[in-house]
Amino acid sequence: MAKYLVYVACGSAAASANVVKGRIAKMFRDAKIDVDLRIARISEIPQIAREVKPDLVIITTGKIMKKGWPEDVPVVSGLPFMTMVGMQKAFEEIVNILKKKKK
Amino acid sequence: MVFVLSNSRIDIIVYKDLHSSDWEGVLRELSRFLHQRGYVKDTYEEAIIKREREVPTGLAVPGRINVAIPHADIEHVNKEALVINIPDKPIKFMRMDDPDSLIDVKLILLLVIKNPDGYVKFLSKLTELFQDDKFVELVNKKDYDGLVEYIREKALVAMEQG
Repeated sequence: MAKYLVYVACGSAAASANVVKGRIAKMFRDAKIDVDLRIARISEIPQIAREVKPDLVIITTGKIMKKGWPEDVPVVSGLPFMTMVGMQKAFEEIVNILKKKKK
Repeated sequence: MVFVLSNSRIDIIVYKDLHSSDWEGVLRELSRFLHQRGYVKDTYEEAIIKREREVPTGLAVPGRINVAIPHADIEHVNKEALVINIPDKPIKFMRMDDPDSLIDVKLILLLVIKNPDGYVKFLSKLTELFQDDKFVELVNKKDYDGLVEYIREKALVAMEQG
């Protein structure tokens, strides 16, 4: 079974995305789901969506502009993982999206 | 009034009396102060404004208080600091996850960080506090002394211990 490929993006790929990545990575580990989590700048995401076609994109900031994106690359807000409010629910949504993808 | 606590890697700066009442004015005022004190380069002011416009940092924390965590990229920073302000009246910041809407921010935490690793740990510890009842109470009471001590204990010391 191939790993899921998930991108976490914020403004500078320095702070917020890494905080979110750390929290999500732990939840994936606890749930025993094998995921390749990568960090990117928000400005790089449209190109990554087209060329790398990750299973999911999590963004901590900005509006989701899906224009020109492949239909099968879903995007969700990573904000619950910044504020830690609704984190479990957001994680369950992420897992549901990934489970719909055939691996 | 400004108070600087500098017994750890990151100085904690309490900046009490803001003259500005909108986010851009606040960031310009704080940037100029930081530049005068040598914390940031002269490129910092425009960098932080540009960044806030493109990727805003107003965090809506449901059931607690809204916090803004403005920051510029690390290359504009000379010396690390955390600037704390509890505005007299909430200041409107653009929402991180929805830049078209504005939220009333009751706590401004300006992050002046240049070490990317420390940045992640510090921000991680800091955001954990946004769910902490004592932290919220200290902000609501405008208890700067208590807030500085609590942030030092929960975020700075924790960060330095790894």
